[in-house]
Amino acid sequence: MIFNSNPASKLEAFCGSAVTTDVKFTVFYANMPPQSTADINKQLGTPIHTVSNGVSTVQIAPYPGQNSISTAITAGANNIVQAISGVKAHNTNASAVTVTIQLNDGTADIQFKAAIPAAGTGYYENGAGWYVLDSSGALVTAFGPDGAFRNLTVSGNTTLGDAAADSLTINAGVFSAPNLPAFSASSAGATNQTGDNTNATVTFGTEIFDQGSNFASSTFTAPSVGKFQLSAYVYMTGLDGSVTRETLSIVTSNRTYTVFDGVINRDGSNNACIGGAILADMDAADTAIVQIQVAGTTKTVGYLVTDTRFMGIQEA
Amino acid sequence: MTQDEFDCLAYVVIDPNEWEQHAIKTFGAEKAQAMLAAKVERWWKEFKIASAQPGYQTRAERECLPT
Repeated sequence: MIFNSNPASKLEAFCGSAVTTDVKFTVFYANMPPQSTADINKQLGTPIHTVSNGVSTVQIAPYPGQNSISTAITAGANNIVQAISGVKAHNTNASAVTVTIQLNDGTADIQFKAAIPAAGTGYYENGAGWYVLDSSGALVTAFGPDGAFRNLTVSGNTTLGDAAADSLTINAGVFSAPNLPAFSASSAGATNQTGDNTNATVTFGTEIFDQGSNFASSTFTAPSVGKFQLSAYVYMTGLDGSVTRETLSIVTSNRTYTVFDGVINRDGSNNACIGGAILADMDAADTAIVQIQVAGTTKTVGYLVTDTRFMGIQEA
Repeated sequence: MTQDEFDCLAYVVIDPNEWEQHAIKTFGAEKAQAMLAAKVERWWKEFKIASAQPGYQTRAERECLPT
């Protein structure tokens, strides 16, 4: 069946009788009316738009009223599809069906697939997206530029927005990112690490949490490029009055951040806590560690279990 | 790691070989190679400008660390 239409017009096609096998509905289109048998054959040789319910038990019947698929398609020069509109699938069955819209440019397929509930409707409107409505007409699932995303599950690498000026608003009151890199580790403590100007790497042997499993051997390794909020606190012990300088650094592959540099008052037990936080740019596979350097005395300065921590989370 | 990659990495990180070995150990050779390429691509332009300046120093040299 071939439709000959002005590109700006809308084509609608309906199956003439009920079918019970795997239904595949294909529209062939050219940007101008076929001029010869050769042109027609050429069009038939390259389908550019396919609608398939993919379910063997669905009946397709004339629209409206029962199960049906209707479609309209427009194209620009050189048969490039610029807009597809009015693709609708109605399911009057008692169970949901899956409907796929498939665009084929001759080299690769692009598929829009959605499960249409019983007595539901799915449609692809004005090239804007694929919407699924339940029997009452309420939106069940949608993706498109109208912002009405609901019950949406996307797998694989996904991009929301395509320009820096785009914005993303999350109205949900509960937000979770269970796989976002985030860690918190504490130290078992150590003695005699510095004091004689030794630059000592602080060890953190206990993971309080390590979301994404990116922390090991006292080192955080960035799994991907990004901006990471990192903070460290070290509760020094073994300080004495001879200390002239205490330095705490978070050392990343790209930069060394000195978050404390000075001499802090020690308590009656010769302990003192220093700490700081940074926002670090890290590349994939970059590392971050914590180092402490104390000068002016002998190698008698260590750190305690209490409040010696290293934490981080990916912010962007 | 090529010499260019090593030189660029030395501008950014303290020990290029240690960075590469850690990446391989953590992510495997194939992913590590891609990560190395991405890192070098990110820093290449800045490295070329910096390394063309008189008195250029690697990061280890800037931080007075043994190479």
